[in-house]
Amino acid sequence: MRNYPFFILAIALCLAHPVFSQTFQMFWVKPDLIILSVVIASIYLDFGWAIFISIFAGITKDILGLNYFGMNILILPFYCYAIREISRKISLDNDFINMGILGVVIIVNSLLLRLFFIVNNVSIELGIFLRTFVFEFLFTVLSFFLILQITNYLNSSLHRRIR
Amino acid sequence: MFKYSRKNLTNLTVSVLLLLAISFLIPFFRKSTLDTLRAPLVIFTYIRQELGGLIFYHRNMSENRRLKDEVDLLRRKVMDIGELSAENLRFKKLLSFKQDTSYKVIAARVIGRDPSNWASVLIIDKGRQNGIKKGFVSITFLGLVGRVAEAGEKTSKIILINDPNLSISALVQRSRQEGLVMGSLGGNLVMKYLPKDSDIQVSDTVITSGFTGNYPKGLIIGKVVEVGVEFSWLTRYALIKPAVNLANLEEVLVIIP
Repeated sequence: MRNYPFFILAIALCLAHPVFSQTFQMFWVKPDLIILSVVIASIYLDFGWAIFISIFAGITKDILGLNYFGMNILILPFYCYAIREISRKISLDNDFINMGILGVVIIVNSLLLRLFFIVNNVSIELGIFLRTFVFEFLFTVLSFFLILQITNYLNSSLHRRIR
Repeated sequence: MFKYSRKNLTNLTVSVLLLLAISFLIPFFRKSTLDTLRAPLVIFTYIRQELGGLIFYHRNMSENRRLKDEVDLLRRKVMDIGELSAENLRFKKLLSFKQDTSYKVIAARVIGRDPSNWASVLIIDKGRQNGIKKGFVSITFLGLVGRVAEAGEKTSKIILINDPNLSISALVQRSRQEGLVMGSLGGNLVMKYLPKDSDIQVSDTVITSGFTGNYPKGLIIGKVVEVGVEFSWLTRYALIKPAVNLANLEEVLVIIP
């Protein structure tokens, strides 16, 4: 595994999210670092490790939540698989394309959740849903951008030192 | 779009079935797994606290100074209240009132939160080992926090009052107007089903009515910040700012009935 820093980052994001995410919340919405870790793993790691991370992330999210059905353990590996299939068709070398993929994943995830709430008779008003969805989308994509900037900076400074 | 060989299709089907089986089993092993996750969560909580202490050093220093002044002031007030309390006790005895038993509480540290934005749930470091059970009410000294939704051996989950799935029967302290307080995943709660002629106004205090669940009567929920009419024009609603800052909870108390 060449990209082991991304592996450590993905695991750390999964475990740190329930503790740290509250610190970064704005308008009562926090960035979804667990989905972010799955997307990072799917883009930067080998498929086997990415699936491992997505299952770990799914279990973490389901264990820490209150749902009667482990929904995340099903859908997070699915996102991982879908990203891998997409990466066969288009190149995922560009940071902005990767951010776009994360955006699509968050949109799909929110729509699936909405469906899950309707099926399970959980009442979340449309206004609250839209507010949470929009801010979650913005914060998570922004967090991804910041993480990419930091890792790019660290990578380049590391290469400079090696030279 | 995607082409599969027979072998790949079989692998995929087996994987999906396996994940489906795990997802159905999750609720059964959730409590024990959460207890296993307790250690890393506690470590991350300590790191967060220490980092917070370093980053917000100056703010903490000035807050510490302000709190020390406040403690002095409160100490003086407590001394005055002590006198009043003793007097009250004497009068109660004279009137043969039954003394209300005060709540027995367990203090717990918040070690995590629900990762999603769609539920307001806290994870605390106390569980059945400490006498906490499902349905117990959680408070701070300022007011109501929520209700225990799940109790594991060493950890528990508390559903907060701003979660849309939690409804609490409430009273306006001044007018004794009844209503149902529900969460909205945001900073304010909504008090619903208020009649059009209900006596409620901004800055009224809302308390638990004691009619539902294990909620003892008289716990402060919050203060009314806005009163409006529902879209149907049949009932009114009130927005309530919770007495407790639900975003920054670090310790809570769980009431043992």
